[in-house]
Amino acid sequence: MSQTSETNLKQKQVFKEELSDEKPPTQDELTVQVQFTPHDQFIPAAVDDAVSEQQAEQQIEQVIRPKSGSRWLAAGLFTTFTGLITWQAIDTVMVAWQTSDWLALGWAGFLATIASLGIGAIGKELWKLRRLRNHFSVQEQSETLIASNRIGQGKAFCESIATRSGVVMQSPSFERWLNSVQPTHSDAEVLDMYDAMVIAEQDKKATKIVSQHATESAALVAISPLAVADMFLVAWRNFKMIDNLAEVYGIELGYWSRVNLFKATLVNMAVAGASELAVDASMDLLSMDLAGKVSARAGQGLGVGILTARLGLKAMSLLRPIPWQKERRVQLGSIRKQIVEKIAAITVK
Amino acid sequence: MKRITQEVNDFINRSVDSHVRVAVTGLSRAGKTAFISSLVNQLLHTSTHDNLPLLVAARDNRLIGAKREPQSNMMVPRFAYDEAMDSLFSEPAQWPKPTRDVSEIRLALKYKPNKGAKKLFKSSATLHIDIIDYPGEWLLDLPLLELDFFQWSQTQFAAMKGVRGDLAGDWLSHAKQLDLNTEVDEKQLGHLSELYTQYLYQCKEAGLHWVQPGRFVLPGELEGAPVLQFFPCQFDVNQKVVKGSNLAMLKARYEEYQQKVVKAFYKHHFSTFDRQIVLVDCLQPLNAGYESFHDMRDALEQIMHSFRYGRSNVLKRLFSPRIDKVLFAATKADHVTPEQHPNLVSLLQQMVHPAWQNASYENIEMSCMTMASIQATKTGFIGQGEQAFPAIQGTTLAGEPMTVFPGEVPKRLPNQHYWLKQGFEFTAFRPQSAKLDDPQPHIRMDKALEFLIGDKLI
Repeated sequence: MSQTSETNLKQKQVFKEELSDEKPPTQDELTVQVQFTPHDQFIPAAVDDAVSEQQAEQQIEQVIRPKSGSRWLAAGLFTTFTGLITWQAIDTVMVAWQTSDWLALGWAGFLATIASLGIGAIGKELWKLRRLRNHFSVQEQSETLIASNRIGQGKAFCESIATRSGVVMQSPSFERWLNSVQPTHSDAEVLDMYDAMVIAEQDKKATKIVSQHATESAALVAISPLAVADMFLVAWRNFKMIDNLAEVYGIELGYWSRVNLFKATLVNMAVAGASELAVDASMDLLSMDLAGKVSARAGQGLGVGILTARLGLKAMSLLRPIPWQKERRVQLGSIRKQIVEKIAAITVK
Repeated sequence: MKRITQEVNDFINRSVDSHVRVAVTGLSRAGKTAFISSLVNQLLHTSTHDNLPLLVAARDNRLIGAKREPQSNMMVPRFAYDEAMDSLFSEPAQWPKPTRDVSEIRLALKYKPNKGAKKLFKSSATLHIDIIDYPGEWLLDLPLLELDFFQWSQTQFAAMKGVRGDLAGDWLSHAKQLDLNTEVDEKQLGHLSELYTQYLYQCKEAGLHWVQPGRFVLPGELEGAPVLQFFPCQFDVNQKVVKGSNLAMLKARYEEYQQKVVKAFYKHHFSTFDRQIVLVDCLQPLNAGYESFHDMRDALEQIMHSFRYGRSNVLKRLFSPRIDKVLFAATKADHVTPEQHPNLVSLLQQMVHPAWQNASYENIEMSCMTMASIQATKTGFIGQGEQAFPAIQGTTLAGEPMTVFPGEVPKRLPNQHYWLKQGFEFTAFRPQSAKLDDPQPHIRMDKALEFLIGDKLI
């Protein structure tokens, strides 16, 4: 340890002023960090830190989020396109005006109105897509907050999450969290409590939605006589489910963001850990086998139901503002049981 | 008959994993009594207050309540919880008195199990927690069990350097005059033991912790007994001990001390733990100096050798219990500002590093955290324009209210020169005056509980 870093240790300081509970709002997070950076530089990283960070990473579930690729090309093409269109439009209007071609001018006005509506819709879509991307970056932020062992940013972060995801500030769960948070809690602890107290409520609603949709699609397939109709029904139910889930977690979806989310969900399902899949699949097979004895159709229904449930759970982990803690994750098992019961009730006479 | 019933009950409880013995380990003044008082206090209040948000069972509202139970060991005094509460609620509030003897307390915790066989059969289950309080000084005797008189003397003489060497000067000069091979001179032995005891007291005052034998400074009921009248001496191990000589007497007394005092203490209280929390006061050695820090580090390492660690299972739990989870906690976290807690953890890691290595061989779960069993200060900020200073506010032991930034905690121990230049000055505070019927304020007591007993409450 170098001599310089030691002299940087701040000394004891006695104050005469009154102690305030809250940090003054001016650049509050910033001051703390600025004061400590010169000191931090001199200290070699402790080996144990790395270990604990690794453990923290293992604790939370890894989620694959859609990456925003380079959009320079798209943006360039788009601007060229709009530039040309505007030029063309102005040119057409000028020519029409000069030649007194009123019909052409009328058509131009009509098309412009329609185009502006379309542009409005596209803008809205882009805005919602941006919101979704923003949500993923919040998720990433919370991951880093959990991994770091710092103090002082957790509360503000959780409050911003709460306003973003439309949590009612007066709800008992949020108030309970607010009362539990102490200034001595570290960021990871504050987030942990927010996760267990506030998001847990949303999780409960979300789990209900997932199990409801899963049983519904299972029942649909089990009783429907036409295979093609099944597929459409199930696809429709799944889209609807993801919609509802997004609503629970306070994320607005447009068309493209919906597609984006659906794609991300499928990607996550595809790369789910091998062990997780193995356990799930064996259990699935077991329960399907069980129902298969009753009827082949019921077995199919069960399979579809479980697939839907898994899709729902993956969507949940994408939609939550904070990644799952391992021990608090909603397990497929609990939903599977409900599906089996439902199917059995329908098919067993 | 009653005793047999009790033992059978304990046996059944242990076999279904609803009985846990927590070792609260720490040197003197580390905050053992405060921790136990706070633990009991917090758990007793779970039914009425939402005071443990980081304890999962309490957060999920599965903890129904807690009560104190008559303990199983009738020969040990009950932990003075009521007295501790009295002093905390007195005006002005006082810290509980330091422990001078062994005591025990048993808690029953009723909870709603949420998985497994317990949920299937019962709507509520009970977890029994046994906690033992004892003077930290006595803990330092446990390593004596593995040393004979010669080895022990050698370690003692080897330690007499630096500050210790200065303090031991008086005793050393007197001890030189003693002829080990002559007829026993009770008076001289008594006098030298007294000088040796004084030397140990002086070591304690100088902020050193490695004080052996521990009963010399805190004799309990053994005050003045000849078993406490011995001291280390330099002799040739191969030389034949003359019967009836001073040396023979010293050796006999050491062995008696080892067998009757230390072993009994160990057997009764220390051989059957499931979980351990090691409380470390990192601020006191920072105040005292470089040597004090390393002294405490060595002492902690020595102590950890006396516990049995290893993975537990049903059979081991019943017949040869061992510690399968160890928590190292830096106490008195309320004496520094919150943003220093990560540094305090890092310093704690340095402090317990040898002990950690020793225990980690057994592949058990370990963790480090900062905590304050009873929060003595309020945290906040002193607004000075754009720059807000973090600060804590409390009442010093002398009774003066104080708002202070106590100084930064170093991430790693600075080298010796630092103390010559400026050193550290962490102020000690008295507890806040608490409202009656409210739980004591705490920092991360819930997280410590979650680590220690959280997995038994599912």
